[in-house]
Amino acid sequence: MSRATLLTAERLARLSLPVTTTFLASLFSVISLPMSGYVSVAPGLTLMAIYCWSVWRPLSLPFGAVFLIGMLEDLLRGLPLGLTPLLLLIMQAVVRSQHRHIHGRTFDIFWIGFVLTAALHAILQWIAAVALSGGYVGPEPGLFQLMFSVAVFPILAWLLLRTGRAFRVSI
Amino acid sequence: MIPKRGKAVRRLVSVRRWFQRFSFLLLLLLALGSIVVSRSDAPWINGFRAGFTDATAPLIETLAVPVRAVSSWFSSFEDIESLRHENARLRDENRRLQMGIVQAQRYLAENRRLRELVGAPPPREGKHIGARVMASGGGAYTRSFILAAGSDHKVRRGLAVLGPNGLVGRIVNVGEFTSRVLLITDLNSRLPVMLADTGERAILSGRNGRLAELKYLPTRHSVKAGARVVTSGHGGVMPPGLPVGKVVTVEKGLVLVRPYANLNRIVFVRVLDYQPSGLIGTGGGEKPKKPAGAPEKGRNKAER
Repeated sequence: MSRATLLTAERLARLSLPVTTTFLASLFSVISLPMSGYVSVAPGLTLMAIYCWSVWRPLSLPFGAVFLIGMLEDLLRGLPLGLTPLLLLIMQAVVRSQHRHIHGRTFDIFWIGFVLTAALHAILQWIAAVALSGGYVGPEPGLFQLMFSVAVFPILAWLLLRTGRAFRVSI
Repeated sequence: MIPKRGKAVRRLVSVRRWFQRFSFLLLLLLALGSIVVSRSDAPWINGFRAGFTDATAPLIETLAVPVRAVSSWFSSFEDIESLRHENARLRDENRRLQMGIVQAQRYLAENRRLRELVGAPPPREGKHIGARVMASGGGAYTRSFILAAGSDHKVRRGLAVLGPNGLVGRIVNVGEFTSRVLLITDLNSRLPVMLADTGERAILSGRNGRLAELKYLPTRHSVKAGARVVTSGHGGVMPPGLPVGKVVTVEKGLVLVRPYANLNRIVFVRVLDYQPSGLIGTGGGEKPKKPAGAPEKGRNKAER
């Protein structure tokens, strides 16, 4: 393989890294683990990836890609088609609008930003669940999922950061 | 030609700019529209969903290998710690089960003799299809699984799915190699059940939690905590008598049931291919043998 081809492949990998990692996070989130209660509290890995890339490189993850990844998740999870992309797009727009307040600050601020984003996502998800079920639905599963996501976030953020640096993406 | 091409390119660029500017709003509207369309539960959406799950199944299976390896490594520590307790519990359970088997065999023989005596056909057992849980569908507000078995393995929509201890749910969507199971604890799950001891009928409704609720019980019911809940067989898809769960709470009209199957830790399930008697042209299932001395006419009437 020539050097030029290698360089092009590396450049392509670098450009598509945010979309690829978000897509993988989405697939990982549907893998079932034989852990007690895991299904109901499985962390929102897709939201974490979207948050990270929207803070680090807002334009590298287009709305269209988030829409498609959300649709994929709905297809796999058996949810009403369009629900996940709707919530994820709203969250992406919110994070993009707050990007300058979070980017380049300490990890604590980065994490607090995610806590607020995940909390807003949990509220919207619960409202959608109530609206679509046509009756009252307890918010407990969403709250547990939020807590688990907040706890898992530093690990995924670190993994994404390492991957980004390995591909020489400026973060 | 060149000016024309330039015009087309300029138009394309302007369309692209317009899309970039309004892409967010357009995609939001598209997502909302998709929700409305998918709520119609059209067959083509289910077909598309099943096809897509089939297509992504190999990728999910590949990604699951390292994740499950790490998970089983962690759970091996848990196993070592609880091994002694588990061993003692299993020995005790084994002793009780050995006694139970002798008793069950006696009842079975007695039941067969009585059935022959009154000319009743033997209950249909159905065929079992073993399947592995491939992925956890659903999310915080939905409960479903994806199984690594589809129409290729004779899995059909509506079939009952059993765990090691009891009913898990039913098949709601079938692809070629995969299928989706709606768990009995899902908010949209409604299952005709009855109380094993009293025969009182009810509908088991999911609540998205660990417990499910018994609804539409008779006004003056005699349900008590600890009562066994089994399928009633109404609707014809599931055989009557499948173990579902145990009543854990009875208060102020609220009756809650804990499923026998541990829905959070299931790895393998059995899909029960059951064909109820009396349905014409549904195919599959095993034909019951005609009991000795059963009057043909009378049996047909009963089946109708």
